[in-house]
Parts: sequence; structure tokens; C-alpha cells
Amino acid sequence: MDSLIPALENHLPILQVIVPLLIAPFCMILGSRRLARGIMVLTAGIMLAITLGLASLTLQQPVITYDLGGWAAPWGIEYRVDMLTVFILFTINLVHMLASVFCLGRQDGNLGTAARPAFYTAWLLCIAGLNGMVVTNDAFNVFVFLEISSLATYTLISCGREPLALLSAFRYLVAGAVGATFILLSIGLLYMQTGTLNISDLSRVIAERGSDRTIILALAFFIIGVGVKCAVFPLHDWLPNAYRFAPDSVTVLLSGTATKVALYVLIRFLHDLFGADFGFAEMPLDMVLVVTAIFGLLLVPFIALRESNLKRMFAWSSVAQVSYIVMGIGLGTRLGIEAALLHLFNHAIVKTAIFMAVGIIIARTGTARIRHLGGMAHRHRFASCIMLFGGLSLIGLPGTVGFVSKWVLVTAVVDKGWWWLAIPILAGSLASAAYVWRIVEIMWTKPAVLKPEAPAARLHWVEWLPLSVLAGLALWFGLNASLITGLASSAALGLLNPGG
Amino acid sequence: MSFPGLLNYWVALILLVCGLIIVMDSRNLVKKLVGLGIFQSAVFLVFITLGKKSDGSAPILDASVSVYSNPLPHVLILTAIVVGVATTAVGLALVARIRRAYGTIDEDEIDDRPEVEPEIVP
Amino acid sequence: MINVVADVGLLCLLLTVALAIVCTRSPLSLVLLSGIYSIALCTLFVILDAVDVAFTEAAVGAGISAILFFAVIRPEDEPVTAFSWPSSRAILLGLGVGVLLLAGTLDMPMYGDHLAPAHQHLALRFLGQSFEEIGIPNVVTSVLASYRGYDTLGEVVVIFTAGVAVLILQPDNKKGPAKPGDRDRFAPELMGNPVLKTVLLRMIPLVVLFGLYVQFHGDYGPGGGFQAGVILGAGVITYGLLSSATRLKRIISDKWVTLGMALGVLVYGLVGVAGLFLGANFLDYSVLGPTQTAGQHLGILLIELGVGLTVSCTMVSLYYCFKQGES
Repeated sequence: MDSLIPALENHLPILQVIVPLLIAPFCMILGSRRLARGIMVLTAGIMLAITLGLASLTLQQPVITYDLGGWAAPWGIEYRVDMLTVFILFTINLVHMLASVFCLGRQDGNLGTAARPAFYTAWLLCIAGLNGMVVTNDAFNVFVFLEISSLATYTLISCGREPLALLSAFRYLVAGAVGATFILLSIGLLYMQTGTLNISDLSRVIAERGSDRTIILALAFFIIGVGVKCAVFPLHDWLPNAYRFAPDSVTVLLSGTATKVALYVLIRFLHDLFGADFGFAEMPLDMVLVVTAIFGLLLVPFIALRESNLKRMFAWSSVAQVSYIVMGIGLGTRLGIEAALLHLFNHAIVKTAIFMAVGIIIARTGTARIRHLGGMAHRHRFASCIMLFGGLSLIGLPGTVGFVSKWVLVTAVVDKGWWWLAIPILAGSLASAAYVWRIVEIMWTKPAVLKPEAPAARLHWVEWLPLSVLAGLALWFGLNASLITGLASSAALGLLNPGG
Repeated sequence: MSFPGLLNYWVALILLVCGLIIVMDSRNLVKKLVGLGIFQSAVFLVFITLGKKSDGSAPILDASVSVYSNPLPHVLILTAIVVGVATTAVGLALVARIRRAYGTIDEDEIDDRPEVEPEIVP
Repeated sequence: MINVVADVGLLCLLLTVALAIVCTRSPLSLVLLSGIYSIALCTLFVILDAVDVAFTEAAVGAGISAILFFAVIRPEDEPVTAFSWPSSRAILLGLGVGVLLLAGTLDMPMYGDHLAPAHQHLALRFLGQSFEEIGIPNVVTSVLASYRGYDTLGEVVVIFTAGVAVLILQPDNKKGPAKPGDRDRFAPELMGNPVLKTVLLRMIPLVVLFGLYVQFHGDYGPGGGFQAGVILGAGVITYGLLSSATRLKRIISDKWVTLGMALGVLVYGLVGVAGLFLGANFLDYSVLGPTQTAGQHLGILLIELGVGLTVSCTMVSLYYCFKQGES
């Protein structure tokens, strides 16, 4: 036993992915819904523990690599864990842990009895794929695990109660497949000009032989492909309906993990594969990303303001929030990445909490129409307060986590000398205040529209526990920002200076 | 041998654009999936072409052969084809369910329907 | 020379079929055209030396995809006019993208160039040393199953995910019996044809035998677990088509099929985990046998079995699920 623990330590990077990947078919074999649920939560706990183990390892050794199949790096597939990887792993596995607890209290959407354990199998496959995309250092392997998580995601979305869930899942499938194929083409073009697939090796070869038009094309395809997956502003079309019609627990999971991992892949490829010199100095990538971000964060809040469905309104708000992260990435500086990472983390926990609160209210009232919500705040105090708190954080009011990341973002744009970007950031925040205020006004001040549901269903522990944890984290990081800022800053530093 | 030159890539490019046009333009869900298949196959063609060596042969080692084409793109595309058919299967399963729910597989006909929300009487 | 002529000819065929698909509205024609497209593409892959890929494309594009598409399309979808031009907006956008892409192709290496960067770096080791390191002549299998075995695990999981997805999506038949019109498919009389039935029934054992050959001969020639799984699955499905899905279910129940689907992934994964317990990395087969090549041989044999199991069971499961939606 003593010899197994240190041995296990060396295998943590691969365990992060194969634990859910191999438990998923096991869940299917068991064929029992209760067992599958228990296993899902247990797996989520193990995955979070593995992430914490990896985090403690990266404190001793900044970069951990793992050769799959025992084949050395450019020939075989390599896993690579550094501070940035751990930061993202922690974000998604934390959200996944809380989302799976929350999922225990939900119905499994519109499913037949035979399909119920399959729902949890798909859930585990989705999170396994996302974890695989984060730890891998091989460009093609990113594509394979992207597809695992995407196929599982389409399935999970299609489990929603309303028939439009099917059409939303189909539209996401088409958009997602086009995006993934663009990424595949980009990898093919890179391989054509370099002869390798390992991300570190690719960046070395590109730096040696210089870029050409094929590499530029690869960069363009990659940005479009991953942009679809991140729901970057003009490519966001699939997201609002997919989030709205998905089962509540799935919306909670996706909003905190799927787009976040795609954004991570964007950061990783831009800096570690193409190299910042190529993307930001040779190509006007900073301009492209920043301009799309400005459009996203200014226009989308107005769409959210006119939205009649509570869940879709917050989905639109996700599109707007992604724009802030993309702006941070687009700056290309250390501070910009730090701001992007902070916002990514904040948005993951805040939006997860909001969608949980929305889910609780929808489950009690049976409707997500905003005009039906009059007076709900007095009936569902806890969920409404969390929603309000999350909303304030989306605006970026001082004292909330949202303020911390927006402050760093403003510092980053000033530092880059693009101080005028502070204006759209501020305007976007004001615009998001408008849609948050609308909800607050209806829920707190308007008279009740719906009859009170007969016995006021009390909050189950699987509902209030994850919600309290998220709210507590958001509060803590809002008031005491130094820990998370320090982590984001060292992750950004590790990305830009891999040696030091 | 310089004749085919970049021809394979150009054809792949046209096929790519054709696939994209079908996916964007078609309102029939089955046709969208067919278009997706063409779009993906264009990418497969790029990979396989870049692996070709003139006068080469298939990468199965044999004493009588001296030039082999590059096996790596073949491996990648094997995986990509499988991923493609998996996506098609899931897409078709969705189409079958959409037909059951709406009685049609035409997006316009589905979009024309008013959105039904559980209306609750106050 | 003949290769170049065939290459150009097939490219023209692909273009023609693709353009026909752009303008076709009839689902039946679309599915048939995409079958032709697949066959042309697969022939082109043979000319470009990608025999394993061609094999897969033939099994998938012309085989499984067509079966799945036929299960979904219905005669009532046939439009009044089967032909329409794409909208001018789409054509303009397509042309714009195309011209931009054209510029990007100009730096690409020419067809067949031996000095292209893609042939230098990784490929040299795969072609030069894989025989000593792994000991099987089919380099594609070596790379697929060993050097990049982890991608292949991912590929099997993708197939498994699709199987799970289709299981979740299969309609619940308890909600009410389907209308009799639902069964009205294209050419239902074809399957009742006695000649077809007699010939095909006798071919099933041959198909299964061929599938097993492809499964175990993949180290030496084109083929492997994936292609074998598709062929085996197709053999089983043929029986279902000829008699009925219900009779097939009595022989292979859907529970067993689901079990096989999951078990294949587990076999693959556990071969990898065995490496961990023997003190090596995940999916390192070298430690499984007394010598490196013996271990690699055993590992590849086992994981290919896992691939074959998952793929064949998923194919049958897809057939069951789509059949379920139909009846």
C-alpha cells in the first residue's frame, strides 16, 4: 500500500480523465438509476480530489508531464499539467461537484426508464471529455476529447422536457460539428507545415521555420472553430436556446464548464502553440478579438433586456460575459490573461449559482416566464437572494467577485495603453445592470401573478447546500480577492514564461 | 511529377464551401446532415492528400517496397471518420425524435409554430 | 501516371456529386447521392495509398450511414420540386470564403512531394522503427493502436457516447401505438423478395467470417477492430432486415447489446490500467509480455477486441433504436 501511493502520484494527470471515462460505461452496465446517481457524485468527489492532488504537485514542480503508452513526447501523446491547467481543472471540477449534488434533486428530464442510467453515463462522459481537453498537450487529442464532450452535451440538452429541446440540441450539433471540423482542418494544416502534433513541439517548429500563409489559415480556422464552442459573440447562435431548453441540472453544468474549457483551449493554442509573437505581433489578433468582444458586451445586454424567459435571459448574459473574457485574452498581455482567468472563474461560480437558483424557482412555480415572476422573491427568499447577489456580481458592483475581475480588466486595458476600452467595459456593465434591475423590480415589487403553490415545497439539502457553497465562495473571493488573484496571476505568468 | 500540384487541395476547398453552403442554406434537417458529411469529407481529403508521396505505396511494410506514404494522417482520419459517423448517428436520432414531436423535418415549418409555454392562469 | 489520371477523374466525380447534392431537395436522392460520393471518395483514398481509411470510408459512408439515413427518411418528405438553387446569399458567402482560402493554399507543398515537412519529423520514426518497436507490418495499426493508442481509446468512447445518445433518444413506445402509415417505407416489398432473402441469408456466415478475418488480420493488412466491428454489426443487422428486428432481439437481446457496448470500452481501458499496475504508464503494452514486441502484440490484440466489441454492439444498438422509432 505504501508503495502504491507515490506511484499513484505519478499517474494523477491520466487518472483525472480515465476515472470518469471508465466509470461511465460501468454506470451503464449497472443499469440502476439510484446507483448511477451515487456513483456520479462519488466520481465528482474523486475528480476534485485528484485536481487538488495535482495542485499540490504543481507547487513543487511547475510543469508535470505524462507520456501516454510510454512513448516519448512528440511521437506519443503527452499530458501536461501546469498552473493554468490546474486553475481550469479546479474551476470545472468544483462546478461539476456542486452541479452533480444539485442534479440529485432534479428529475432526469424527459426520459424513459431504460434511458435513465444512460443520462448519468452521458453526464460523466461529458465531464471526462472536458477534463481531457484541459490536460492534453496534443493538438489532435484535443479534437478527440472535444468530440466526446460535445456528443454527450448534445444528448444531455436533448433530454429537456419541451420538444424544442430536440431542435436546440440539433442546431447545437450542427454548429458544434462545423466548429470541430474547422479545428480539425486547422490541426491538419499545422501538421502539413510542421510534421508534428504535440503542442510544445508545434510551437518550437513554427518558431524555427517561421510562419506562412498556410499557418495563417490554420490560425483563422482555429479561431472560428473554437469561437463556436466558446459562443464568442457573432458565433453564439446555438447557446441561448441550448441553455434554455436543456434540463436545469444540465444548464448548471454546461454554463460553468463547457464554454470555459473552450476558452482555455483558445488561450492555450494562442500562446503555447501559435505563440504570442505570431498571433499578436504579426497578426492583428488583438484587434479582431477586442472588436468582437466590444460588440458582444454592448449589444447582447439589450437582447437580454427584451427576453421573456428567465433562463434564456441569463443564457444571453453568459454570451455577454464571455465577451469580457475574450477581451482579456485579446489584449495578449499578462494582465489581460489574468483578468480573463479571473473572470472565467468568477463567471463559472456566479452563473452556476444563478442557474441553480433559477432551476429551484422553475421547479416550484412551473414557469420561467419573467412576467409570471411577480412577488416571487417573497415566496422563495433564499433562491431569489442568491439570484440578486449573482446579478450584482454580473454587473460588477464593488464588493462582489465580478468587481475584482472587471477591475483587473480595466487595469489591463490601461496598462496596454488602450484606455478607451474602459468605456465599453463600463457601458456594458451599466447595460447589464438594466436587465438585472428588471428582474429585481418584478420579483420584489410587483404583485404576485401566480397562485401560491399548495404546500410550499421546502428546500432540500441537495438544493441549498451547493448553492450556499457557491454563494459563500463568491462572497469570500469578493471580499478577500488576494488568493484568487494571486493564483490567476501566477497561472498567467506560467503561461507567458514557461521557463521561469 | 508536378501536374496535380495543388489541385487536390483546391477541390477539397470547393467541397468544403459546398458543404458549408448546404449546412447554412438548407432548411431540411436531413440535408443539413448530408452537408455536414461533405464538409467533413473535404477535410479528410486534405489530410489524406498531404500524406501521399509520389510513387509511394500503402504504409504496410514489405520487403519489395521502398517508398511508403505517411501513415500518420491515415490514423488521424480513421478517428475523424468514426467521429463523423457518430455525430451523424446522434443527429439522425434527433431528427427521428423531432419528426415524432412535430410531424415534420423542415425547420421553417417548426419555426412557424407559436412557442407553446405552459400558460398558468393567475 | 495512371494514378494522376484516376485522381483527377475522381476529383471531378466528387465535385459533380457535391454540386448535385447542393441543388437536390429530395431526401431519397440525397442519400443515394451521398452513397455515390462516399464510394468515389473511398476509391480516391485507395489511390492516395490510404487503404485503411478507404476501408473505413466504405464501411461507414456507403454502409452504416446509408442504413441510418434510410431509417429516418420517409416518402412523405419528398418535395414537389426536387431541384432548387441555393440562395444567392449563401453562394456569395461561399465564394468569399473560397477566395480567401485559395490564398492560403499557395504555400502548401505540392502533391506527392517527398520533401514536404509532414513526411519528415514524426513519420520517419513511425516508418523506420515501428517494426522493431512493435513488430507488426501495418504501420497504420502500429500508430493507431500503440503510439497514438490513447486517441483510439477516445475514438471508442466517441462511438460508445453515440450509442448512449441514441439509447437516450429512442422514443418511448409506451406513449401510444404508432399509426399504421408510419411503416410505409421506401421499397418495403424489396425485403420480402424470396431471391434476395435466400441469397442474403446464406451470405451472413460469410460476412461474419470476413469480419473475424478483418479483426485478426489487421496487424498484417488493412483492417482492424473498427472495420471488423462495422462488418460484424452489418452481418447481424442483415439478419434483422431479412426476418425482423423482434426475431433478432430474441437471439441477441438489447440488454446484451448495451452490455457489449460498455464492455468493449472497459476492455480497452483495463488493458491501459493493467500497464499502471505493472509499473508502466497508462496504455503501455510493453510490460504485458516477456519482451517488448510480445507485450505490444498482446496489447494490440486485446484493445482491437475491445474496439470490435464496442463498434459491433453499437451498430446493432443503433439499428434497434431506429427500428424502435419506426414501429
